[in-house]
Amino acid sequence: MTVHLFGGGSSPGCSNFSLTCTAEDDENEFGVKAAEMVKKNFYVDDLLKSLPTEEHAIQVIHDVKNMCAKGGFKLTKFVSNSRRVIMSVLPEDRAKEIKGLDLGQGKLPIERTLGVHWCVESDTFKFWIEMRDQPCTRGGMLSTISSVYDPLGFIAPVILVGKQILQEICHGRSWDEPVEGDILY
Amino acid sequence: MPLLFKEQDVQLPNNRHQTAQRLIGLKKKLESKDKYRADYVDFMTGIMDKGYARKIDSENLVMQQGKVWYLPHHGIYHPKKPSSIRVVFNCSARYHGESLNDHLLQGPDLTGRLTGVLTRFRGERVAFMADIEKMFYQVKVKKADQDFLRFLWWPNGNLTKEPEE
Repeated sequence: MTVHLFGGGSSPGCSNFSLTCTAEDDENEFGVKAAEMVKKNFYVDDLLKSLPTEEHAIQVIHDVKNMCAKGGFKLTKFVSNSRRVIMSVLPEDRAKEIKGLDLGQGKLPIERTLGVHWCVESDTFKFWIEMRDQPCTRGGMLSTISSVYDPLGFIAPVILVGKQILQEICHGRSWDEPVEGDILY
Repeated sequence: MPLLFKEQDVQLPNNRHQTAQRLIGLKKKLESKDKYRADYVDFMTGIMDKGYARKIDSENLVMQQGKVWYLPHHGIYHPKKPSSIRVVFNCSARYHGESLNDHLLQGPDLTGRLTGVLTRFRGERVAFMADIEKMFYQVKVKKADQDFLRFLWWPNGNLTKEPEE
């Protein structure tokens, strides 16, 4: 192989370093805003950004796309909560779900943003709590509670109830012992 | 970019034999599943056409001892994308207790940035996101270190021929 590999221990670090270099090398050509964005708004290969107006967004998307292209990186799969911003991006660079969408009429999809579901149409974050078929044991509860991915803690008040039950049953029970009684209600 | 080795002068045992052995298992799988074979060959042809991988010239085949490593590979389908295969080059595969990843530095931990990036994402009214296509593959590995990323494959995906490097 001539390139860095998925699963290579140093690949994320190296590719991130390259991207940062791109920003520093070409700051003069594409502007401070684009460079800042590359440095601050990427999580490995994902770019997430918000701006006060559509005009700002359209301009900086144009700059950052060109900046990345010069560094050899192709920015693609664009989504936005603004239809105008989406329209400013070439159809082939839009996310798959909105390529075929009639932007005047169709509903914008739900996208995954760093593991959290972002409902683009309503511009809200959504959570699905999967009540999988887990036994009612300490282990089963821990598994269900941990399956909710919520890095920003939006729904912590809801999850807390489950965590409190878990905390109580932790005393003096093994992982697989069935849990019964008042504690569950 | 180099590979980030922990040691200045890294030495690895020659694992070509083991990797060749593993290839026999892969061959059986490729022979028995037509779709798997077709997708696998497409993927491999693709990475060679794009220059992400290349066949090694015969004069460069023999390497200084300890400066070469072979990666076993296998194909996986993403559960949500059953049509596209990804061939995984296993950097954690062990030979005599050592793997390539054991010798690599991870670089700075980036996970701490996640909440920051996600919070800034909804600071203002107009939000957008995008991603970089095949990001790792856009970053070249320096020539000397490419020998640590060798793998075996059949010429043009033709299983009846001898695998090459």
